[in-house]
Amino acid sequence: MDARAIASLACVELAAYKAALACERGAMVTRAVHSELVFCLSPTRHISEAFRRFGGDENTRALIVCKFDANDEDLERVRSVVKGELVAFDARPAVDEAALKKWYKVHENELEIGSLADAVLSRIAIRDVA
Amino acid sequence: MRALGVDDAARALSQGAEARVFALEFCGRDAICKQRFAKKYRLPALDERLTRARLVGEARAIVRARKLGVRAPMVLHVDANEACVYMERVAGVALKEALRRETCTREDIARYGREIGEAISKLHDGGLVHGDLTTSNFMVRDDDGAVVVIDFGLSYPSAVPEDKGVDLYVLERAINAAHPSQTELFDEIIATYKKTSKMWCATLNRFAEVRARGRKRSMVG
Repeated sequence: MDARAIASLACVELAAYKAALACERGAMVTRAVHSELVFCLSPTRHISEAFRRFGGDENTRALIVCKFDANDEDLERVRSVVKGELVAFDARPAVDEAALKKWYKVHENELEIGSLADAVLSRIAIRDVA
Repeated sequence: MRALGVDDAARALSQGAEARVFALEFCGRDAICKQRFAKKYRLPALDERLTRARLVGEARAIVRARKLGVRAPMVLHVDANEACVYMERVAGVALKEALRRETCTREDIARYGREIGEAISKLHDGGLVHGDLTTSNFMVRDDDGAVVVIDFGLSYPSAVPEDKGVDLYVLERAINAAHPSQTELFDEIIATYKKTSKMWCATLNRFAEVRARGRKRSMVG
């Protein structure tokens, strides 16, 4: 995932939870649990848009990698595939707030009572019922 | 990982006519889970539809309230299969308890009144009616003392002055019944509502009418 499009770690956790739940119930929209995670991050049900916005590609400067049931071997492979330096989650580059506000339709009113990350989390939470 | 509806570590907090509320941890934060249960007396197909519609309605209403800048608990997850809404747990006490404390001063009451008045006027101006305004459905948050609106289970979108008037009337009745010696709370709420709502005039006129006749409209004739 593109780290600049991820508002907080809680958002990733929630999307991972939703993806795992969908997988377990056989209710996945995409083909694999990892792609489902990226899809769950999106405020819309548009799959290719979700990948465009949240997925990483060869031009991504900051990457977040998620693996379900990861073991040491998996992590080792990730390290060898990604060209870059491993940093702590909180040391990642600044998120693209303008883009997040636009994608998740967050207005100023809402930011008076909570952070942008909170607003994004709510959108992820109610995507399927909104 | 289990498809948790309510996991074993969950603690039951309360139960009402529509749902049970549990405390649990969700994605690393303190949360509550509000699970609606099946009503045995209803036709199963109908029951399922009603439960789902209300579940979805509640989640939407909360997020809509937050969009309007009203303090309400964050929705964390909606599980339609289990009829659960997961919400952030607000650490604090119900306004009802806060008002009954001996340490509750006139200034506190005035501040609660202002915050509630502002919250209700934001909801109403944004076309959302809470539907169950009582002093149990406001919480006073521990860390900053702010008033948080909870339980949007009976909430519905409406722009009609009648619905807003009834909303205020229900609150007035609730305050008069539960806190007869602190009715200045409601005066403060109305005063703030008048100042902040753009449509206060129509609503308060209707409120006066509702007050004269009661919550239900007479359908005679």
